[in-house]
Amino acid sequence: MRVAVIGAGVSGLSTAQSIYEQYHSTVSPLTIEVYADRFTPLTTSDGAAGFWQPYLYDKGNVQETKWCKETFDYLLSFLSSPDSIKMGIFLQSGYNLCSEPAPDPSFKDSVLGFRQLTERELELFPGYCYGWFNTALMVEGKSYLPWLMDWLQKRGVKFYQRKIESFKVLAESGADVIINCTGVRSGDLQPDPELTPGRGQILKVDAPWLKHWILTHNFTAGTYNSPYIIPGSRSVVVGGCFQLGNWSEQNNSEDHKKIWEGACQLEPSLKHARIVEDWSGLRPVRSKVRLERETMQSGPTTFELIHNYGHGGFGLTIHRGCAQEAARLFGEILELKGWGPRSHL
Amino acid sequence: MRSVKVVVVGGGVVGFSTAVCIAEALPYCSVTLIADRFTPDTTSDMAAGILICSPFPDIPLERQQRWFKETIDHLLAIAQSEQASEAGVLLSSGWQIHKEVPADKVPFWSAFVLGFRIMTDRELKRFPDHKFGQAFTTVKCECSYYLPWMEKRFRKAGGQVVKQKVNDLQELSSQGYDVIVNCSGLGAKSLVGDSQVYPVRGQVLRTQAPWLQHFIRDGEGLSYIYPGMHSVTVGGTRQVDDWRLEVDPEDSQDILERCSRLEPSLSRARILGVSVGLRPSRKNVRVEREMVLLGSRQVPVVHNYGHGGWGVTLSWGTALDALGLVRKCLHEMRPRARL
Repeated sequence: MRVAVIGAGVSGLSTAQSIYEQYHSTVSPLTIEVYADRFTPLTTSDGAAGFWQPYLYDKGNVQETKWCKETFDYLLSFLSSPDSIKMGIFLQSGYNLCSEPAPDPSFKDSVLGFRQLTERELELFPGYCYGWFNTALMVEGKSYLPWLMDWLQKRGVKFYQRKIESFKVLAESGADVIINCTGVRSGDLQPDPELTPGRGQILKVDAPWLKHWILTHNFTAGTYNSPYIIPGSRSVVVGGCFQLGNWSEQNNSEDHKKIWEGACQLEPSLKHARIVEDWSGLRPVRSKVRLERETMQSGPTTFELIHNYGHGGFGLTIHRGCAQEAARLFGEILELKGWGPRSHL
Repeated sequence: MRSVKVVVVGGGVVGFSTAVCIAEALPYCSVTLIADRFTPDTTSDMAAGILICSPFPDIPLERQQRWFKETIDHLLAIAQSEQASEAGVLLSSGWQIHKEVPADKVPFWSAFVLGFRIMTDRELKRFPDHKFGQAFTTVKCECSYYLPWMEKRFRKAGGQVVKQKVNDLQELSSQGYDVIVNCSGLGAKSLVGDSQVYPVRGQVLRTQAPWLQHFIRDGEGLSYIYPGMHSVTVGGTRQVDDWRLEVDPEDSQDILERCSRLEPSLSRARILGVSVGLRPSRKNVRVEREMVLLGSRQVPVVHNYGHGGWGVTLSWGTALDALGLVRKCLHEMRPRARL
């Protein structure tokens, strides 16, 4: 059984992991290959701050909330393990700020110690009159992805740097199941009008006195279009912008200025922080995550596809839940094709 | 006509806080700070500087609450300003955990830190040996930054700094000072002959663990992990009447073992250095004034020492009280000296 995963961001790598974990002992041989044009540290997952938090409201996408919670619990379980630092996982608390009262967010039961902000805490943030405090997790892509690749490599997964031009090409070369984790550029393989880039630009800053994340929410400007400050293990990530339809991966000086001014207003101590560099990335935005099977024709035969893309600004946040679901879909394929346990292919 | 000469003895966090309070509030006074040791060689420099404390037994609780509140409010304002990084002041959230449920579930300062609450069961799961905990956000004030910043502030307000060892108050009287403010910490034992002052030795490790963002303090504060700007302070010891300033490698090992049980990832941290400080302890901190006969003069002396492990925590509040006492002294002085 040959599985070809396209995409080496957090979705591709974690899906490969879940499939290996669940099926390597029952499907023999199980060959997993990962194809991607970009590997860590050049993926979208690497540039992200690595902060676990879904959007405030899931708009009825309860399945996504469930997958995010599953990811949180999964990452939490690694905290006391000797690998936690290598994986880039650690706890961090902070503030979600609003300029008007708002309903509790979808993730309130997933995180630790969720509560309303007190009057005195709100005094620290002039201009904001409402919000929440909680303890959440960080999972830094620049550590997590290398850890995943190492995990997979040790188990015989092979990596190929190559831009895949079509699903058919892979199928013809012998892949039985193709996992599509191509993120924002999925449209190159199969047009998807619901998929669009949500461009983000961030500043990486040296401000080691900051120990809390601070996210502001502006319901008119939209998600991630207002200032946020997320300290990491090495530097502080300052954002934010969210520009739908903008494919530019170049840093923009106007965006830089706007982001920096917003952040300094939110956190005056930043004034004396050293700006290290800017980075721009394209969030793979979609109305909802595409996580489903598809059977495709290749001449006289068919091949199986599992799509796992469109995670917007919450890829790291939801990755494990989606990877496990993708593995479940893989199991469905096995059953359907009679490629169950003790199948030798 | 000369201005009133005030001298503050001691260059730690209490000395400088008191000197700044006086210099900023009483511009008609000439204020000099005298000490034999300055940052980075003071006891304050060894402290992690987290604002938390235990109560003194004989001082009215409302006075101690006022000290805590005044200090944290003063530092919170700095933390939220552009000065925060230069002053070494930052917000710090974390957990105080207890192996047994304490009699007093809510410490006397709980209303003055931010967001104080009891930990949830899910949060306690990370600490299997502990049954109860409190979560809150407090302030960390790193004296190796704060003291130079305070010295700048002191000089800006007209203060003078002199490096000199003071052996007895008589020397200061001979130098013509009108009011003596004694912030000599452990030095008060010999300077004013206070036998109630004793050291409580503390050893700490400075580690590199930039993934740690929360403090963890165990029960009575024997074991603690305090993430700071450039390192994580891991401690500690509380050795009463122990004057040793040398590092004890057995203490280091013991501290690491205890703290790694609280935070397993610490075993991956690189140790940057080990420090020792002697907390200037006393049954009760001494914040009061007296008239002392020095030579032929009756000189007003304001005492502000004996803060034990709570120097940073109570620094601004006790400095304000000391300022109040200095004002009283000046008020009672003969008119010609007040100009």
